[in-house]
Amino acid sequence: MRAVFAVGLLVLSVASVVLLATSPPAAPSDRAAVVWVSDENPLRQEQIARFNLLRPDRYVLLDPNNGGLEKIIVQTLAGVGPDVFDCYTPYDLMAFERAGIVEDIRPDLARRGVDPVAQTFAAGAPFFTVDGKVYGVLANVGADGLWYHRDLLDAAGVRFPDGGWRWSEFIPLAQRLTVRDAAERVQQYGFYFSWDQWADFFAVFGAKVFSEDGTEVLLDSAAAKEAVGLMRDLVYRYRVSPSPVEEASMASQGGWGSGGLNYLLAKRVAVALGGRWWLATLRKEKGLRLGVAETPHAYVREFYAAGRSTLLARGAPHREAALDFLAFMGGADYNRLINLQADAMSPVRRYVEEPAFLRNPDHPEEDYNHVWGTIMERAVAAPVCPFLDGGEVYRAIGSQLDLVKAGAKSPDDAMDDAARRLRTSLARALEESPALREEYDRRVAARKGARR
Amino acid sequence: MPRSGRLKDLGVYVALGAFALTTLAPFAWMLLASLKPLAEVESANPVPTVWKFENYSAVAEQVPFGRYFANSVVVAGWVTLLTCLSSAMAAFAFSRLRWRGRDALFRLYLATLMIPGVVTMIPNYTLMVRLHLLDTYTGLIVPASFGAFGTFLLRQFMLGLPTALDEAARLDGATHWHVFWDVVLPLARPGVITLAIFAFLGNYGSFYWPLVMVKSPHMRTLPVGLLTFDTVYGRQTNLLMAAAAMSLVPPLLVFLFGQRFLVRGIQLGAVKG
Amino acid sequence: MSKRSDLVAAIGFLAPNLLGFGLFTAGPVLFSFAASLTNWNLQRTSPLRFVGLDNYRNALASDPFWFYLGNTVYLMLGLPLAIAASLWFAVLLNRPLRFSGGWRALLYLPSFTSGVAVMVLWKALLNPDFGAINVALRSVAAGLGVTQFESPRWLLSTKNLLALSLERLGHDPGQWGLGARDALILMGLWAAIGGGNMLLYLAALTNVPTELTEAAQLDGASSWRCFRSVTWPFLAPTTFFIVVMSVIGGLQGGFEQARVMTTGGPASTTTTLSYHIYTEAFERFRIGYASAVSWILFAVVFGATLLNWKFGDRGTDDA
Repeated sequence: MRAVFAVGLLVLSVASVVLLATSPPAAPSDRAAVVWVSDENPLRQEQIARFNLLRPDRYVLLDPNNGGLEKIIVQTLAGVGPDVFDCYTPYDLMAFERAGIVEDIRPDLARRGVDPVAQTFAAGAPFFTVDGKVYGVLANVGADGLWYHRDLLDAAGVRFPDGGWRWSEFIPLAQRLTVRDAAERVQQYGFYFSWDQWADFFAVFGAKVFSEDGTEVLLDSAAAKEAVGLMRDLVYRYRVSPSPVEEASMASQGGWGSGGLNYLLAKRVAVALGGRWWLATLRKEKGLRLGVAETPHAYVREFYAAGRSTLLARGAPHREAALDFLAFMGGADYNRLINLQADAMSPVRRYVEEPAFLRNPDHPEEDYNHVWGTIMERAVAAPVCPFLDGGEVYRAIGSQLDLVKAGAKSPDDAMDDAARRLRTSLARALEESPALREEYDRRVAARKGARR
Repeated sequence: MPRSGRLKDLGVYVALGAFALTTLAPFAWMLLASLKPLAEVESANPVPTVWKFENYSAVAEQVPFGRYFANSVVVAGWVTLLTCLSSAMAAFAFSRLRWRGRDALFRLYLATLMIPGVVTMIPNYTLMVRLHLLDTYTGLIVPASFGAFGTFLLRQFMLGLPTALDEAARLDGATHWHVFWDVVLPLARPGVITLAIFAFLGNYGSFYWPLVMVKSPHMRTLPVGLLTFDTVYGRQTNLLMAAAAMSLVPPLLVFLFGQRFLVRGIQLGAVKG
Repeated sequence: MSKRSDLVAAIGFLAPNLLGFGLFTAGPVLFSFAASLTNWNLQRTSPLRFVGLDNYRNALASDPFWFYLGNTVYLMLGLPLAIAASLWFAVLLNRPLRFSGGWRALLYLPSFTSGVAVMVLWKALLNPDFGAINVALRSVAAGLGVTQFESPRWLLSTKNLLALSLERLGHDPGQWGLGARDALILMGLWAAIGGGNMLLYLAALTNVPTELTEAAQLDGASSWRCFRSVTWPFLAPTTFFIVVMSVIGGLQGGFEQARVMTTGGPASTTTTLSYHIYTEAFERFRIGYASAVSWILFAVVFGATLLNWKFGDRGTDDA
């Protein structure tokens, strides 16, 4: 055993020396390194390669993250944060803003000829701006639509329209696309959505979680209850979507609503609610004949936008180089690349509108990009509450939807309870922070003034 | 007697076999999924219709797997070595030596195990920044090598050892170091081996600390490096499983090597011989 | 035995560990205690200030805290069985067997297998319609002549065997049944049986002198008597370790399952205190509050350990 210690010590010492000797410098010494905390995937690497090619004096390094905030928080608190990092929701942005770990870079970007607010889809604004301050740029944007298999639609003799349509038109078609065997077991579902995608249903009903100014909880409004009611009906009344029990047998896997992507790939579902970003994965599977239709609407033909922004960290070690990178993300090279890669859609509106967006020369079979264009035209921003954190909001809604999804609670009761919980949280948050209280009172007064 | 003994043995094999079937299933699933095309991973059929052995080379093409692998093995190796040595010494002091405040200090050690690691991550990281250990092997190794866990484990193990041998050695005028190094440490070998298996496995799979500590691509350990197959935009389960299958070779070797020492009877022979 | 003090030697032996321990463990732990007395929430609008025991009071007065504590303790119900089963398997494996190394590796396999694979298979096993577990339950029910058998919905259900109510700690007969928490207990049991505890017992069993067990057997003692009076005393210190670590692990546990498998649901029923602490600290940035909850958790664990100490630890007898 003492021999094991000695041998271990020797082997490890040699191995360590070898590792240290073969450590390449992280970035070429003649270039300013920009550390970008993001998710590491091949798309991101291509985007970085493009920038590194264009700017011989700059060098972007990707530092992988797991989608959580702990890495950014821990590093920034210790004063050694990254240069730029990704942000996935408006709530996260507000949290970063409140924590003071981001800074307004509008003038810096203007000097580089980039005006993110003017050029970007307005629906994406809450992902990188708060109260008119610009903390970064939008990295991509999108809204969900209906992905479908042309083969399966043809087999059922079903066609989807090119423009807007209603749930009442879609549901009978989805029923025809739902295939059951002799034992009444479903072989193929007509429509798949994830309950995490509740916001997509809210959008088409004109339902909101909060009022525009974020001071009122509207979760128990009639529209919100109807939206959740439709989700339940798709499963239990029209039976075109899997119940949780049925879905368990489909062995779902993680990711944001990406269970649907896997079911679509495996042709377990004919139609699935998802974004253009799925295409990056769907493309790898050869021989699929896919189409896209708008999400059907109920009261309004509007969709809630989702996106990802890249923010500059306050005290970034290589601030100027990092700003150059953000300016690159606001420019033509990056935005066209995003559209070609199908990393959702380019945040800069102009590049979704140009003809090149419609046809990717490498993928002529993708003839539905105009539908994505229309969806994005009609995308709006979901109102958020600046007084609550996203974790609390999503948990309050998610845990009630769990009960509706399992058939254990009515949509009305669930939304009433979720609204009650959020109102309690809101009251407590205002009680704890005089500054928030002040802002809240200011907004309420402004709204009352506007009404009068 | 022999007949009933054989029957009893049969029962043992049946019990072990039944349980082993349940542990083997996920393992087999992992290997099979690593050979599937992505579209089949969701399929209820565990056997691939197309065998994609190229998944393994695809992993190595998409990430510098060899480097991540070497980093993980070396970091976990150092942590294991340091943990075993420092814990054994401390455990010796807590179990074999007599001094005032011994049990009080030990309880303090023990108490720190009860604080969840989540809330100590921020101060620990800040300390690393002060010590200029960010993005270094030292920063990955040293903080993980001195926990109270190993000390507690080996203290308990040493308490179970007979004291006769070291009392005798002491009467012969052996120094404390000799008693530790020549008598107690060899006797405690099964405990140290167990701790080594735990330390290696635990550190090899450690995720959060390397996630925040490492910035340079060549410093990444496997759990951080493999994030590329499991992002918020989806999971490449087939490649992830191929990487997992390749990753588990070192811990499996450590286990197979170590468990040979967890055998009754080897003890006394080792000391006598 | 003469009274002597080995203080100087003890300092020498402790030095390396104590130094690392003080720097990387004790320091940060003290820091977290200081943080628990502040309103540290990373908000510029509410400057950092000392709030005394407010965080502790708020936690103890909040429904979610007690609900999550209930979940945490509930998930620990399988621990005694897990410990007993791993001891049983260790005793089996300690016999001279063919391929004993292979058996050990097989039993220890869950510790090597990718968490994703384990999760996928358990999800399949626990499937309410086709999963092997429910298929078996249904055939047993049919065999017993139970006609009105409603299969448990496992991971999708908020039911539990203690009929804990939803959303706050309490009792609700309607919640009686098998649900997500019970499914996690089953998974935990499975992973623990052949896991670290079994190895620890194997290591401890090497301490039992073969002469003693052989002598007992020659005296005609039954194998249970032999185990109880000869083997067990040698296992006591290791059992103490296992029990203490299991309680610590259990009270701090549930984080991985919650993050990877259930995201704390359905309806927060698999959210444990450790997951709560994580989300409070790194999703809501309420670090002061999260630290306070950690220290409450500490108090609970410490209390449990003191009880163990009183009844379990034999190491201090001769001190």
